[in-house]
Amino acid sequence: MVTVSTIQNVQSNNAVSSGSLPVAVKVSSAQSFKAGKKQDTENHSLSYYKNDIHEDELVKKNTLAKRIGINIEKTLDIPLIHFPRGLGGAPDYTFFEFLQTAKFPYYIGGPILAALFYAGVKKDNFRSAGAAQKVAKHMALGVGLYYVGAALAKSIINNTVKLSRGVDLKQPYAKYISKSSHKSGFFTKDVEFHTAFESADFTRVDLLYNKKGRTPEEINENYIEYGKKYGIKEDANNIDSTIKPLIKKTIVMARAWQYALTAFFVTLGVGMANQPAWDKTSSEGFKKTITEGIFGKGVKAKDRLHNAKVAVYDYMLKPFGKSFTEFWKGHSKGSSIAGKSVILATAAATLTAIGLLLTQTSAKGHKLETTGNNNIKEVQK
Amino acid sequence: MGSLIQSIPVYKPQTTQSSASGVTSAAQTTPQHLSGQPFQDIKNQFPQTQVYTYIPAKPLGDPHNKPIGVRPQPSKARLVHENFLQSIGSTIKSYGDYAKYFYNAAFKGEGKDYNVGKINDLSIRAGSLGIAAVLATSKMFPFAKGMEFVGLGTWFASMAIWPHILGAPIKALYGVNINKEYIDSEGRRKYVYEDNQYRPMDIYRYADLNGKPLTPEEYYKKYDKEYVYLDKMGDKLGVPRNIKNRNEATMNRANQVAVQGKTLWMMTAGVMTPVVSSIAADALQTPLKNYLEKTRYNNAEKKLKNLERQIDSLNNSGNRNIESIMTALNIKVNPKDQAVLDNMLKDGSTLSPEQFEQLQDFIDTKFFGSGYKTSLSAAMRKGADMTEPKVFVTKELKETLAKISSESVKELLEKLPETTRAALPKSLLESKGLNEQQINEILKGVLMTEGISEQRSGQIAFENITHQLGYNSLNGLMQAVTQKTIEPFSYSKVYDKNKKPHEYAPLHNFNRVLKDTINKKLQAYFDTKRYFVVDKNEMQKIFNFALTNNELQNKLKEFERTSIQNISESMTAINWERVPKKYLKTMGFNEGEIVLLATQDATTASKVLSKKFTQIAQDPEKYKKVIEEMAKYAKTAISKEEKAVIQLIGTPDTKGILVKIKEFMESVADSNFGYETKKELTSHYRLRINEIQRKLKNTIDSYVRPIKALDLFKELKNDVKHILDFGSDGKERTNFNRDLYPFANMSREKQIESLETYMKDIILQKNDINSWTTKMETELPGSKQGMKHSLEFVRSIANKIFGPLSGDTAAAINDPQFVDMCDFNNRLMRGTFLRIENKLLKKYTTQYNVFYDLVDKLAGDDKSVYDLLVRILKEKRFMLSEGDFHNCMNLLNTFKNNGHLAPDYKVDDAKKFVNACLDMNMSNRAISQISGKNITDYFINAAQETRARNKWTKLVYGLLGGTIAISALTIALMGKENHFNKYNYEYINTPEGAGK
Repeated sequence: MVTVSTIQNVQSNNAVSSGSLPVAVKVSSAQSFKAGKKQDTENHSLSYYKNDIHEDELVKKNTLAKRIGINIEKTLDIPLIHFPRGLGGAPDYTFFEFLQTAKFPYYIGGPILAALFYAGVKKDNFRSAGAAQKVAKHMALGVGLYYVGAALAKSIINNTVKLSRGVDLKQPYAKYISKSSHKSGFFTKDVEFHTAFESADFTRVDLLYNKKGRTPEEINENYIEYGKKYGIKEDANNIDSTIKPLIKKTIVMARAWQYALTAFFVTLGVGMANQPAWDKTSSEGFKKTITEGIFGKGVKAKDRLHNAKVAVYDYMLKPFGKSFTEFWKGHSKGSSIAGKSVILATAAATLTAIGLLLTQTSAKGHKLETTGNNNIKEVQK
Repeated sequence: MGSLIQSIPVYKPQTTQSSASGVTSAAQTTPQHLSGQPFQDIKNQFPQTQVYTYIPAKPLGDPHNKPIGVRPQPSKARLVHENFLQSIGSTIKSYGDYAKYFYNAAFKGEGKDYNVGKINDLSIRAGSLGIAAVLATSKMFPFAKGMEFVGLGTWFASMAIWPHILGAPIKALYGVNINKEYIDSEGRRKYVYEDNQYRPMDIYRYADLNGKPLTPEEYYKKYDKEYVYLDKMGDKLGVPRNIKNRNEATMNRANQVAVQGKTLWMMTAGVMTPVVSSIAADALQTPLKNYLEKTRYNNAEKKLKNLERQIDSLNNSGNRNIESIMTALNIKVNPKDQAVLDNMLKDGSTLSPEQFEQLQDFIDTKFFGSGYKTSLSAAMRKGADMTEPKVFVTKELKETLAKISSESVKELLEKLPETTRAALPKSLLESKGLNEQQINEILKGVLMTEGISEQRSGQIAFENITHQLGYNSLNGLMQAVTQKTIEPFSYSKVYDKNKKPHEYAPLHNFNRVLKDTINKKLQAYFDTKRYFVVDKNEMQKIFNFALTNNELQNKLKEFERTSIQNISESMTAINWERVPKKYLKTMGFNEGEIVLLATQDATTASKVLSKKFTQIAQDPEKYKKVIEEMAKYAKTAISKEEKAVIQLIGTPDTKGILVKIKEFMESVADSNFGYETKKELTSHYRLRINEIQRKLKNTIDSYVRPIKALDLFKELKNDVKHILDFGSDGKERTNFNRDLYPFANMSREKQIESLETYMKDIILQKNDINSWTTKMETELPGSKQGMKHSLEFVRSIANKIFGPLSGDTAAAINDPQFVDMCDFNNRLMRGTFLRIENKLLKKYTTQYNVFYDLVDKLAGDDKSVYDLLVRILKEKRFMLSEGDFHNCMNLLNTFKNNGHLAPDYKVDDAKKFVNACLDMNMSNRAISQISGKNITDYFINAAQETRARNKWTKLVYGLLGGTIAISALTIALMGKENHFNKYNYEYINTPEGAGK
């Protein structure tokens, strides 16, 4: 178990041990130089994490822009790094890389299925071509709203956990890949972006310590913050040990509900995509509104704004809202029951998830016992 | 202890000297891949750096060196060795476990990464099932619903199967099963090669040569050393035998192959999952469709038979009480409708006109489209009596009278000629009709005629005391109002000496019209004051009757929807999906022709068809084969529909369920509401029967027409000559220039050629006389009048086009019954069709009736046509009244037997009557509705379907082939030394010069 004292030891030892490694010394001086410059904000750009780190580091200031950058990076790595390395059977190929490649089929499977469907439709006939386009539109919308539903389910849980416990499940960290032992040559992995809470078994709680801190309060500052949210008032020396099992519990529960809610929300999304509300506007019109109305040449700024409003409201929000009510009402007895039960079940599952996360992860629901060995056991009340 | 530690292979830091000479022994063992140029560069750059090199493990020492003291628990992990069924079983079981994991994680926060990962698997499947269910409920028809689940199933199946398909050749070539699973010490199921950095070698220790885990005891009975499975794998992978730590080297090589295989899996799964799923779902479509078609039809038929039994027993019982019929048929009034009806009838027996109209509207809308709305209205009117108008002296009455009077005057003044208006005094032109005072006076006068005292009358009239006017007073009121209104316009009042009398002439007329107008308006107003005395029970009975009839219709429609109606997934629709494509295939169109048919206009399409038809007609062998095949497809398509139609209508000699219901409901209507209602009902049912018969005729026409067309193409040369030489009556032409004037100024060759091209065109394109005419104008330039003046020409062509199949064709079909059906249907089509010809050539309409020649023959000496005429008559039996049908049949018999007509009944009249009965007039229908699909459209549609299918096939099999080829190539290159993997082995007792 990592304690404050071991951290301090590691820190004091670092100077010695890394001193023997010229590479590390060289770069660590560069790091301290940069760190000194940006010490106040610690808002490093992504390239810092890609090039300048020497150990695993949390990505500070977890902004949307950074996450998008990280996701683009990770997505591009699939065909550019992981596939070549995997096809070569690189000995240092990791499970993380395999999981990354496993996303690839999900990206291309849906579009290919839609393309296959569209290829099999009679398009020479004007009327059937129209009907096919309608179906294709619903399919595309279905794929789109599927992703929207999945994202929504994740974000509901993320926000609940972040607001109530301060645990940011999306908190990325950069995993340093040693270049000296890495033998892949051209297809070198530079850095892997993981999230600190991605694993319940190997949660990177070690990254949550402020390694530059000098006092227990400084070193444990993150844990003290969590403690407030979890409702624990503990000695700054011990609080990390108390929080860790609670974080694990939070991760397990949150992930379970993220997956469960995804099932509900994607069903809701596809159900809504299949409603006639979307037939009132044409995808052609939507495209034109954007390409010509908003980004077209010689359009007045006022009109651009108006067209943007049209694109968002008339083409997206209005049919979105309408499709919800249509899904609720249904067009037949069966579909009305299906629509209502999906909507109600989704609402019920969401409330249950939020309720459980709020009540069950709180420290107030637990009695903490200190044993002689300074080990803290979690006991159900 | 020391030897154990040494047996674990590790990366150890070795101090190396950068100087060229000082190479230590450790550096000598540096593997080759670390001694290349880049490595040297690094070493030069960082001379003090510890270099990590790979030191192979040394073998364990003797058994007596075994460590003692604390040891890790022995591993309980074991390989999974299951057959297909067992693996399905464990998959199902595992979902139960996943649900448990979910409960523990979601409600208690307990679990590990493994469990949470499995929850994801569970939720993906649950979500997909949810999506399929939601999509299925949004579909209208069972096949579409079913396909949502088939799609889901094939999707997951192909997702699960693809790694096994990839794994099979990999295992065969390299002995590495990338899908191999094991159960770890904690009972979790995992893939052996799941994590490339975690290599559970121990689990192979006691695996036999097939990878089956054995207990040590069993194992040692068979083998004398551990890891025989890895040994075998190593051989397959080409790992040299005489190296140190061969098992480890094998494991490394196996993991290389596994990483390669799994990467290939992930690269290809995104393509193969939809492709395989698509192919599987497509293959399942036909059986699913067939199954659903069969079960749906059988169910519907069963219900129909049930209904038939109920109707039969009701019919026999003689009970015509609507309520007990409803009970017997289990028909219930919707409580909501009953509430509306009760509410409408709650005011008792008298309803105001508005209320009565509401009642009618309610019943109308309720049974909208039922086609017997008028009969219901008639029955309702009959069931209700009108009261005398109930008019009260009220403010409203006075206002209405004033309004009527002023409006009437105004309307008519506007219509007067200018001169008359100029002659009228200005005050009259602005006349507003009666004023309040005048109206009160009128009312007073009217009331006095009822015998009410003058004082009382004045009170009532002037002080708005409510009082009902008697019936006679209404007439008096009407007269008085009219008179008072037109008084100012009377001749004597407006006469002006300075003006000429004729200027006033229109005024005379004006007064009369004004009087009429006022009378009409007042009458209409009084009518609104009439009440309907309705019999509540009678109204309920009408409602119940309409409901019963409607329910019966719905039950029949349910059957029609699964069978003969052209809606999604009906038998008809499925035939239309399949049969035209088969025709297209049978006729052997190549891809280029199909593209032309599918994408070009009808003219181009018919040119392609014409070429193909000619080609087939010229090749007797092919002709026979094509006809045979097409007839086979036509038979299956037609016979299904025919069967359904027989269920509904019956054969000429039996009654179908629709006919039975018709007769039953007619008798119910008759005994409850009388003749008028029955008559309306009958005509409604006749229309329905007619529709169904027409539907079947069109279906036969659609599928038989291409066969007939081929037949025509084959016989065309002879037919053309026959048309040119012989009249439509079969006798040699005597006046060619009159009969076939468009061809009059041509050479014989030109005549033949033109007529041939022309006929090919009209056979393949629309069977519509307008099209015949237009074609004629394009084919025969110069004959702008087309064929309008040559009935003889139209008739000759029609004789050929609607004539019987030729002997060769009949022989090829080799089914006299089917040939007979084709010919008879063609004859009926000709009957329908020639009505249009008659319309075009109006002057012949009365002279030439469709079956006149046949009737003529029968009345003459040719009795062979009797059967045909009876058959036609039976076909029309539901269109005729019972009496007409029997009379016509009697006449045919009389003609046949040369019997005597009734006295005063002339032969010509009898023939006319028979003709009228047999007439196939359907003038209220568009031509497209009374004939089947025309050949060009038929093949265009088939080509479009085929082309879409071809495109799909190309894409799907292209992707499949491409992916398989890439996979095969990749698999062939696996497990080899490459950029990432350098094989360096330390050989045992390496002999001098021994290679790998």
